[in-house]
Amino acid sequence: MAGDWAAIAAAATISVSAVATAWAEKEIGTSAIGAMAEKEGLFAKGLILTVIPETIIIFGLVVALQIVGMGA
Amino acid sequence: MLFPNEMSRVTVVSPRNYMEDTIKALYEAGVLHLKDYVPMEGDHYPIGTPLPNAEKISELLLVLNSIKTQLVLGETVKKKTDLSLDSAQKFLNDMQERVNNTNSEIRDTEADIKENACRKEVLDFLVQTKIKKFEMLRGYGSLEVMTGYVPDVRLLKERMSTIDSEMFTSELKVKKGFPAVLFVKKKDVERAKNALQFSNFCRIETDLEWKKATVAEEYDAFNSRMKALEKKLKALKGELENITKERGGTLLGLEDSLTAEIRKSEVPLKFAVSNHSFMIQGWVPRGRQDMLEKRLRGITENLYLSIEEVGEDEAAPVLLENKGPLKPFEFFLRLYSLPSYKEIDPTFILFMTYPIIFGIMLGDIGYGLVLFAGFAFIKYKMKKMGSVASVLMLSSLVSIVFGFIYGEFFGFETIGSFELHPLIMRAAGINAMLPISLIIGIVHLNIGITIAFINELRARKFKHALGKASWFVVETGGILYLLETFFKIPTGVEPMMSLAILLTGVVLLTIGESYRGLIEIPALASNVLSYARIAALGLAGVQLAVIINSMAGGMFHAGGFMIVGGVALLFVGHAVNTLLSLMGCFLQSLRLHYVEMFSKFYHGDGEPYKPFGSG
Repeated sequence: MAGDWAAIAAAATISVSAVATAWAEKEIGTSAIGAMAEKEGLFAKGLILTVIPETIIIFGLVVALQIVGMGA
Repeated sequence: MLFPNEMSRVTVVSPRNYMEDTIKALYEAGVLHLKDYVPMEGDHYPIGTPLPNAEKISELLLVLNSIKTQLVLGETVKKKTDLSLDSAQKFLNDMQERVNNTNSEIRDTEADIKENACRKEVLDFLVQTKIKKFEMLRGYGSLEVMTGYVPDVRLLKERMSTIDSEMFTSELKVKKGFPAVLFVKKKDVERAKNALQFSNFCRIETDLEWKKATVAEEYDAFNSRMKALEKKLKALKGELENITKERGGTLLGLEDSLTAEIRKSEVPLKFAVSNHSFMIQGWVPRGRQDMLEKRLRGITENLYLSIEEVGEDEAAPVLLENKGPLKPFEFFLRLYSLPSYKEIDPTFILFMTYPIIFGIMLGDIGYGLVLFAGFAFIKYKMKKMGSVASVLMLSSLVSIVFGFIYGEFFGFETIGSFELHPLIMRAAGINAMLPISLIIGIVHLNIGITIAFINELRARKFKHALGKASWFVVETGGILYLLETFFKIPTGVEPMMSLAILLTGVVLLTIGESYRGLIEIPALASNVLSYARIAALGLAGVQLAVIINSMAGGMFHAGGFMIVGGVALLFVGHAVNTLLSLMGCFLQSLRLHYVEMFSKFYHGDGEPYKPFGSG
């Protein structure tokens, strides 16, 4: 029983984190592409800045795994 | 290696009649990075004006560029040219005339060909309707001739049944429909036009200026004219190619020499001038200052030349100095920003830690081998990507080493019959790698704090140095406390003691860095946690490989046709996983350096060293 709830909790964690990350990266990515249209050399900086929100989903993954570990 | 190239500040003051010689000498030496003279409030001296030939050279460059856009210079080999301004002008004007004329003739010929092609359509129509002579179509007193295509002959006949007319239609259907010729009385023209519109009649104008009497003759004339036009076009294009072959090399060489001349002519805009003298300021690398001094003194002895050490807080240009295997890692610094002049050059840190963090995250023998081979190929094929390729080749090698530690070969634990003995089982769960990742984080960040400490000492900012050193105290206290209370690991230090150490550290930090330092304490915790991505990415990669393998295994067991599917799945799946892992590990490892570690010590914003010269 605990295992079922743990699975749902883990799923919820990952989903919400993923939505948050995707939303953040979408905004940054759009601006990065806009900046690149004016100056091609900004591609590398733009890419790095776009990937900064990855932290959110990685923390989500860690928490989800801990939850699953707890529920087992 | 540890610091950017050492620079010396140079100041030159000289009489104005030596300005051109000085410019020439500086250009040939190619080592002085000029400082733009910007007159401020209350400054007496204005900037210089460009040398007299600047305008003419600009005009020549304009002409040259307009010629360049009209030619296809792809494969042309540059030929070194040394023409005087006058002969360059003659060459360019002559070439421009020839190219422009040839091009306008080409355009005219192409327009003629198009017009001719239109006439062909009409001629085809006439052949289809079997009209042999042009006089059949014109010169009638009371009749109007209408020619065109109609999609349905019966409909046309129906619509025209009420109008008195002579109709000739062909049974031969072409793309546009059935060709039809109608002779209608002039008074019935309006009714006829209505009827034609209802039958979807598509009109063709046949009353053009024909030179011959019969259609057949005209057709021959058309063919021969077309051939002549096409021959002419080919000749003109060949002529253009000839011009390119003959003069293209000289053109490109001339472009180079003119660009050099314009740079020399416009550089007085960076000097300060008075009525009789001018002043130049700049920086030169310490190792080249003697050569520069000799050249300048060779022009005249009436020269004030001062070469001195770069002052504190002076923004001298930055020339990175890294040899051998460290040099490709400068690419990461150029991507971000160059270190400021007084800072430590972090390239050697990147060289040491980037491949390791990359390798720990990727950690697969098979993927490492594939990436190594791939980037070796890229390095061989594309010289431009040489430094990135070298960085990733080194990183792939480290991944192979960690692949042995994790016991992963494309997700399998055996290479053929050779069994791998993993030291750390990654696929089991995140708990194996998480503490290791956090420890890597703490070590990495402390390397950053140490560098910050050294930088502050060198800049003689002792209070800030104290602030940086106090981080170590804070960390010691914090870690001891956490180990005792949360992780229940006995450390031999009582919790009260560790709290006291922590507090001492905080106090020192406030002294050293005031309130901004305090705000950074939670930032330190978040930075360390950020390193958990090392465990997370590694886990994601290996889990994906294991899933691909087990699915393929299932397909192999099913037998028969599924074996082919299994092989395809293995191939595609591991290819995708390799690319995903490559992108992820590359970006995340770089981000850990740029954001987490650099925020501890890096000032950046260094101006790249761009000396005045042909470089």
